[in-house]
This record gives sequence, C-alpha cells and structure tokens, in this order.
Amino acid sequence: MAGQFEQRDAEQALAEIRGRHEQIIGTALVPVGYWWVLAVLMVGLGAAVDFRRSLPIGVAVVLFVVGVLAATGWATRAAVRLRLRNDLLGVSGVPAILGLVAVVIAVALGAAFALRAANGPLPATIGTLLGGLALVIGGPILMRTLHRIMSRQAPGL
Amino acid sequence: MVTPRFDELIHAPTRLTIVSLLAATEWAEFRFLRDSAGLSDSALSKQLTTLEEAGYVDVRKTSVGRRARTSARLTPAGRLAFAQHAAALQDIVGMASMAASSISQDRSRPAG
Repeated sequence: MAGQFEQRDAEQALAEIRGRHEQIIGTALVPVGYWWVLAVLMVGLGAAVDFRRSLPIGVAVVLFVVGVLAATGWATRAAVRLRLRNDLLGVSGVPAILGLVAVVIAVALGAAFALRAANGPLPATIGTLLGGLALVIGGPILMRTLHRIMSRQAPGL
Repeated sequence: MVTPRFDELIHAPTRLTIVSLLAATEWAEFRFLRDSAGLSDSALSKQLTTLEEAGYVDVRKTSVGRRARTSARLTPAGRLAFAQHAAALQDIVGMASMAASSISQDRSRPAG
C-alpha cells in the first residue's frame, strides 16, 4: 500500500515537472496570428516597392519596422519575464529557425527577381505574397518543431 | 548519468513547482514565479529563502529605471539536486511498474 502511494506520489511529481516545463516552453512559442501579421506587413512593403515612388516606400518601411517590433513585442511578452535555458533548443533548434528564414527569403526574392527578369507584373508584391505564404505555412510548422525539440530537452526527464 | 537521490526539500509541492519552473530557465522574474505558481509574495519569498539557504537558488535584485526587479535562478548545486530528484522519481515509478508486472506474471502462472 505504501509502495502504491509512493508510486502515485512520484508519478504526480513527474507530471508536475513536465507540466511546468511545458509552461516555460509555451512562453517561447509565438501564436499563429503572429505569422499572419508578419506576412501582411511583408506584402504591404512589397506593394509599396512596386509603386516605385519614395513616399509610399518610406511610409511602408516605417510601418513595416514598427509593425514587426510591435508584433514581436506582443508575441514574446511573456518571455521578457524569464530567460529560457540556453541548451533548450538543442543542436537542431537554431538550424530550424534559420531554415525558415532562408526559405522565406529564397521564395520572396526568387519569385520577385524571376518576375522582374521576365517583365512580369508587380514582382515585389507577388514575391512578398509568396514569401508571406511560406511564412504563414512554415511558421506554425517551426513552432511545432521547436516545441518537440524543447520537450525532449526537459531537465531531469 | 545522474545518480538518483530523493530530495525532501525539493519534493515539497510548492518548492517542486518553483524548482521545475526554474530548471527550464536561466533565470525567471519573481512576478513570473509568483503568478505561475499561484503564490502570494510572502509565500514565494519564504520558499525562495528556504531554497537559497540550501544553496539551490540564487536570488538577485536589480533596478531597472526606478523599479526594483527581483529574479531567481537555480545554482549548479540546485540543478544537480533537481536532476537527481527527478531521476529518483523515475526510479520509483520504474521499480513499481516492474514489481506490478512480476506480480501479474506470478498470478497468471498455474499453481503447483
């Protein structure tokens, strides 16, 4: 009977440790809406570039920078109150993040330059639209990947 | 490989919550720990003091502008003790499971 109690107590304690670890991971992951906001800001910037006039481009750059900073601040507000353990991302976390950045840049710039070379319409708008699409699809996938990686690195488990 | 060692100090429910939160972080703010653990300021202070006296936690007070900010982090000794405690918990669960399966095997064997 005492053994059963000890086992149940130990299981509950391990569940508590896992639950708190998940809670900490949750502060590092950004919501799906964040990727949509970034994509919309990107497309806005791309559309302004296609205007080929300095005023819309200047306004769009300011809106893009302010928008990205505000969205990032909002999405990571919980993470300001702590710093995640450095080794939580493991060896594959950083390549996963850089991978998404590389894909988005490659898709956006690749499409834009290809359209421009072919004298296609609105190269920057279409390029950033495709880049934004990659962000909206890849962002949540990246979050799930990071969640999996960080869950595996649970301390002591 | 961590040597399992059950730690009574860490195992107390409130302290287990605090140490589990800190184990996944480099440091965490006092307010974050208080809100996450659902404790009052004084209750959290008391538990942090206990952990600090054991050498498991390091509490720092810094000032950001006019506001004082208190944060806590696990010391290397605290991280080791937590890892050993978690290993001990896993041992308890593992041994209980093994014992349960050997009992069920004994029961399923025909008598005689």
